[in-house]
Amino acid sequence: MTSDFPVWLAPEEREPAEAIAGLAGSSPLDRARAVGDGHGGLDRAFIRSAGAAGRYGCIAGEETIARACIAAEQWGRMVAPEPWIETNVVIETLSRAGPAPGHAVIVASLLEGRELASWASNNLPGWWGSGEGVRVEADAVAGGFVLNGETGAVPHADSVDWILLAAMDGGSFSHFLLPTGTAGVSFEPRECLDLTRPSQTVRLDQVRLGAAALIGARGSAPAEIARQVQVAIPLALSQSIGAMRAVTEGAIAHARSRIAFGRPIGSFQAVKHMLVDASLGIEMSAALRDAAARAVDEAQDDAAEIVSMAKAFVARTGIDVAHVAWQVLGGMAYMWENDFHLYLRRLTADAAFLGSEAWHNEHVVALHERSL
Amino acid sequence: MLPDPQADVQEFRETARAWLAQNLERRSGQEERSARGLTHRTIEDIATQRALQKRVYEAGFAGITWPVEYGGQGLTADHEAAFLDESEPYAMPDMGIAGVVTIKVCAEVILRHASEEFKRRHLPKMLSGEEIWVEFFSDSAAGSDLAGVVTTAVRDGDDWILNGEKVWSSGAYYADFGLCLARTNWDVAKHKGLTWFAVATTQAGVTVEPLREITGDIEFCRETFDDARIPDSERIGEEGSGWQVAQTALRFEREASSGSLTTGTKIPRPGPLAPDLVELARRAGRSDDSHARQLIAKAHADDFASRALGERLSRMMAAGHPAGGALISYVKLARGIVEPVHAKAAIEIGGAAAVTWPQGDRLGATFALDYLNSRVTAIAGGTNEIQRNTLGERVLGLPREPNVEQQLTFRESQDRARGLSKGQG
Repeated sequence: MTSDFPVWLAPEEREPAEAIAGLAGSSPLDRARAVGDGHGGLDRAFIRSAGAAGRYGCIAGEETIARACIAAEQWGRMVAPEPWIETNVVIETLSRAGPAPGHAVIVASLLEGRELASWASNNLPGWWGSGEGVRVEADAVAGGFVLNGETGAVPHADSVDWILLAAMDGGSFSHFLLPTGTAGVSFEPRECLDLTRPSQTVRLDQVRLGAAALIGARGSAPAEIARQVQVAIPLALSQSIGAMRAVTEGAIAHARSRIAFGRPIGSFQAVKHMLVDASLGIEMSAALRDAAARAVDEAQDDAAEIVSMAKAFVARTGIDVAHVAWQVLGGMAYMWENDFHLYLRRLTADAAFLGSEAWHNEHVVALHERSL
Repeated sequence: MLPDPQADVQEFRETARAWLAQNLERRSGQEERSARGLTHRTIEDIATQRALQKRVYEAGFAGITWPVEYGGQGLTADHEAAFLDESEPYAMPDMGIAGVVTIKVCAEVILRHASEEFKRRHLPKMLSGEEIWVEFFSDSAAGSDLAGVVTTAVRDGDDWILNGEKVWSSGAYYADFGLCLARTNWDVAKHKGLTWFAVATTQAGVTVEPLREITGDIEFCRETFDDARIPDSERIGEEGSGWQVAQTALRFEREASSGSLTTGTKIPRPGPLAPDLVELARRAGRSDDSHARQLIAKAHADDFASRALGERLSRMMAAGHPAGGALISYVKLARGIVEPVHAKAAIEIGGAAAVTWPQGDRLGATFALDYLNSRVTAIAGGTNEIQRNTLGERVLGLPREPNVEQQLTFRESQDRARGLSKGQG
């Protein structure tokens, strides 16, 4: 008996997964290829159509993280070159921040894909010791704030409408939603291993924001960030898992059809066993992701620990799985025209984004020490 | 005080509760261990447990779901679950791994493949503790390649003459019978010349030798058959049907171990941080060492991932995943990979504290035993490599290896392989 194991979906996963796959049409990697080749920026028309179908913004209302993860896997399969995670983190943050004037309009616009947001996740106070820290300062002035400084790499910063960032505000940190067109905001291009996630440094020079740009109370950013991390990581892991599945399927198809020494190379145990270990890594990753999403949805007291365990495991496993496919595809993988490199680049960058394996490992041990 | 078979589950539960309270001891604490194991079960100890099993049987709490004609109670799975629930705090009869194999594997094979007369003769005694059964399955010369057994039975009138050697049969030294897989025809293909027999451990021509394992434990055995004469009435299944019967045994072996491989629908939680590694780090003065902390976190996540995988796969199987039960191999492979990694981390973290400890220090001994046992899952019951073949072919749909034995009789295949060993290709 054989089965299409890597693409099998549980019954409750089929509708959302197929809907998103359907949006992308018959050539789901086209957007990633265009961005990867430097021929295009964000495909706004595509995002608007996804938003109009109710498939872009996910984390609002009664929707669970677990269910959003099903969608995230599909975005990951197509190496989606859009700030899908970031936009959804911003939607969730704004929805939770309460009914501030203007926020409802922004949330609606993000949900519908008419506008996009990013998130300065490399500059969170206390998280994954970015080394850069938070280098944006906010000064309260009459009618609002003035922001100065610069961020680390922010995905899609120069192409989105809004950026959520934390800034030093007196002795603590506050959250601001920055309209990217504001005077004094500039973007310094960066080179990125992951071609489908172009990121820029954001410079803020005497950027004047109204009071409505403040998200939540002043000084509330650290507590908010703990929640954002728990929303973002299960989604990010799901995107990684989608990419891991897609790249492993490609390697399995190759191992079935490529003939060497008179037999399909997938019949050699050296090849077969590598692919099995990759598929095991994917299922263990998915099991941890399931546990993390459930822990966050149900506000379990071990949610922070499970989220970090899952991130550490998937960071390591995503790279291992990409390397198995790389080795099985052999010389084929080295050709630009083979889309393998898009997945390799994405999975490698995913491992570093939102905290490395080592950072999350240490976080897990520290959480246990704190509870002693 | 046999319970009324028609009694409802609650009444059965109450009867069981009362009987257990009056007849059994509550479970006590932990046993002493040293790195030499030495948890050898004596014949006297097993005899005590057999007597206890007999009382459970006579009270009507053995074979709760088994047919009445074979000594069972003919009750429902709910009755059995109620009894398991009630008996949990008690020291139930423990005949070691062979006691489990008797009921969970051998009896199931006998129920499905033995003659009616054989079933009535043996099954009630298996329930009452009078007969302990083990499998004489792997030859010394055939482990992963189960069908490659060379232990041979040759027909002689109404009897069979058995010669050969079996090994890794757990608890055989205190068992009464072995279910033995033997080659009865060398001149057909490998899988077609096999037949099962029931072999009494005490009969002439059968030698059972307990073996000391690397932990110092004495549990599994080697059996030597030297012209042992087996009546044809002790044959299980048709002549030549051994491989089909073996599938039943393998299936129930898997089921007996799958309870520990999946958590069913129970939601796993991470629990305490790898307590053995944390304690070893403390003993080695490395609680703040970042390398040790990385290893601890990694082992903790691997352990949780293996358990979460069991829960995820249970859900996938329940949802009708086309690969079905083959998915369980993922859990076995996961554990077969992460358990040795964990064991090696313990040695790395603990350093000298992991390899030497004060006499009588139970924890130190436990860590060492855990290390020595760390490749059990990777080897026993289908090695990691066998699991990878199963998963690669049955789940990922990768092609099988060319079967070099397909066109050959078993004798030809053995001759060919011997030629390859000598470099003749």
